[in-house]
Amino acid sequence: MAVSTALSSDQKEKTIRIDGRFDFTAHQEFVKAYKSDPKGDKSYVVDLKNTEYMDSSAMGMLLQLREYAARNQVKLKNANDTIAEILRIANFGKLFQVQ
Amino acid sequence: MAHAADNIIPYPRDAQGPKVLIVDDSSANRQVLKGILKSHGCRIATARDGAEAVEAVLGAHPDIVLMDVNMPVMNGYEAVRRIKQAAGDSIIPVMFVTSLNDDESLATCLEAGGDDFITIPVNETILMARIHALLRHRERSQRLAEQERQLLRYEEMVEREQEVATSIFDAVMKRDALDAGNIRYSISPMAVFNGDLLLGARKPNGDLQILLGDFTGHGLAASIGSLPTSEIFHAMSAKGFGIVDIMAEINRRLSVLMPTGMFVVAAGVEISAQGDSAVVWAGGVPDLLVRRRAGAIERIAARHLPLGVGGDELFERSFDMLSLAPGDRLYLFTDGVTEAENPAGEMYGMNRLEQAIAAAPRETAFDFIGASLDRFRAGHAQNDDATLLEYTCPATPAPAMMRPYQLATPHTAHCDSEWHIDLHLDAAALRDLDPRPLIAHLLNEVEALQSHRERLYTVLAELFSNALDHGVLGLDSAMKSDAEGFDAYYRLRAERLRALRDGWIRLSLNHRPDREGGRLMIQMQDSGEGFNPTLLKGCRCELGAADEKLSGRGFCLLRELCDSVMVFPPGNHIEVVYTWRHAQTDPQVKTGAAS
Repeated sequence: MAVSTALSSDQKEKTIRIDGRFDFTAHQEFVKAYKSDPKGDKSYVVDLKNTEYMDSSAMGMLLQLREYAARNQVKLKNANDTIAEILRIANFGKLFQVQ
Repeated sequence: MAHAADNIIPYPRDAQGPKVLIVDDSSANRQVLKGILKSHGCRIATARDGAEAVEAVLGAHPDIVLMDVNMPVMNGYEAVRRIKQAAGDSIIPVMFVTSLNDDESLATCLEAGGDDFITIPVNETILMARIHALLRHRERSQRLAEQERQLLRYEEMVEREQEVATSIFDAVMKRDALDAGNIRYSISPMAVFNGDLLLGARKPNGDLQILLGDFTGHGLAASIGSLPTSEIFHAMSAKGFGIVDIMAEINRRLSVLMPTGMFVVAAGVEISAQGDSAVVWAGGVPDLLVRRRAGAIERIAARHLPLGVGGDELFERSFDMLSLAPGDRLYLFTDGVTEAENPAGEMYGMNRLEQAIAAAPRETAFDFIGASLDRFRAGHAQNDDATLLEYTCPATPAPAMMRPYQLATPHTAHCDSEWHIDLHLDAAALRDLDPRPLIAHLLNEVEALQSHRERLYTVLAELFSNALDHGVLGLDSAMKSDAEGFDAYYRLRAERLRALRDGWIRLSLNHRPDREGGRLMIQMQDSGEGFNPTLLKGCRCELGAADEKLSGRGFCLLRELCDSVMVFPPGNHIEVVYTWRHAQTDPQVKTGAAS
């Protein structure tokens, strides 16, 4: 599991990429990826391109990120079929923009 | 490890130097060592042979022993054995100081239990370095042993606490209502506590309510949210609230109680007392499965977010309405079932589950499915909580009234007062409020009526539905005769209720006590046009087809449960009388009148 981040050129959007398993072991790194930003300052994109697996604690982390982003958007993109199914079952499409 | 820095702890750590026991029969040797050690701040004790050394260890409690090998009375090897034995759990390092320098003798030093050796003539720097190394080692070992003891104590404490907590959880997780012949379930906890939650209860009118939930995580943190959930579920169910109201309240409470990121995926199902329909509110759970008697399988996908994700602003009240026929089977399960893995790391999955459900023979369906899952797992350890429930629609509808209701302790009647309640509900109230739980609550408060509350609730609910559906909303119950009409009926009902601007229902309860019990008169009047009451006049109930067509099953039920039912023209005003007897004096305390 590895978490990396990238900022858009206007500094307004941060992309957080999770490679490997996205579960409780990713918690510290995942939180570190956005906690340095002032609360509600940026919108976020969580790139799941190389995420193999996601459990309910990861979903909890996404909810925490959503809370941190406040009124800014959180997008989830590039989910593989399994993860897309997990997001669908949880109806996360109602909270996040799933691409 | 948190103590990785242990290696560099300097020694001595306190003002007092370490206490060293010097064991040598030669006083010259003792003096040499003493001189060196004192100059380094050590405190000294001495012994002249092995026997004295053993005694000194027990009396003077040295931190380390410097031991000669060849001595009178008891040699160094034997002394070490005895010292190590006597020391027990406390650790006393022993370093041999010897003029022997053949390999075999030095090896024997260590075999006898010595921790190190140094040969004479002693080099001061090396001696002190080795002593410090041994003392550091001792320090670490002691700390490790202490941590081990603490860990054991902690484990015992956790075990005790878990026992207590388990009994509390067991008491709260009531699901007696699921102990019925047509319901099977299995809960297999991965931890002592279960992230899965299964609750069951019957509303006063006999509707069966089931809640299946799966909290994020496992263990105590995951189960803690099940306490308020269960409390709300049972309290509201007993008052007759609908499953959607219950889910809304649980969501409200959990979203306040639980930190962001903790939630529960849950399905709430309410199956009518007659077993012919079900309301499903599902958030974040895997699709519910319905296997029709004829074999077709339907999926009901969760429409909603899990509970506890956000407050009322995120809660949606929409639900699925399901019509059921005898022999239909409903399956609820958590993702532990579909995500069960085999030794190759493959998941059981929805398709395999569907296939098992489709292939399962009617009589032994639940065991068949369980066996299929076990075969797939092939002994592979379970990595999530897995709960599976099967509800089979009974062949003969069993109205709730047939269920015997028994009081835990005989009550003395306190219902000897005369009272009267009037309730007027206008269009706005009818739109936004379901008065049935309120009324059930009122009846619950009257102690002597406790044993009648289910029957009374049924009477009130029937009267109210009749007044609202047919009177105020003008719906025709004939619509409900088939599955499609059934859905259409409820859609239309919801539509008309939303748009309701005029209309009212008036309810009046009159209670008059007498010597043997009392008499409760209930009047329900609505703003509707009514229907032709002559058709009902004087009719003793026979559950005939004509009768059902006429006015639904509701009226038959009323006539069964009440002593009299009167309909006043133009048919929008019904009065029923319910007579009750003190339990002791009533030989026919009813376990069901509809038999």
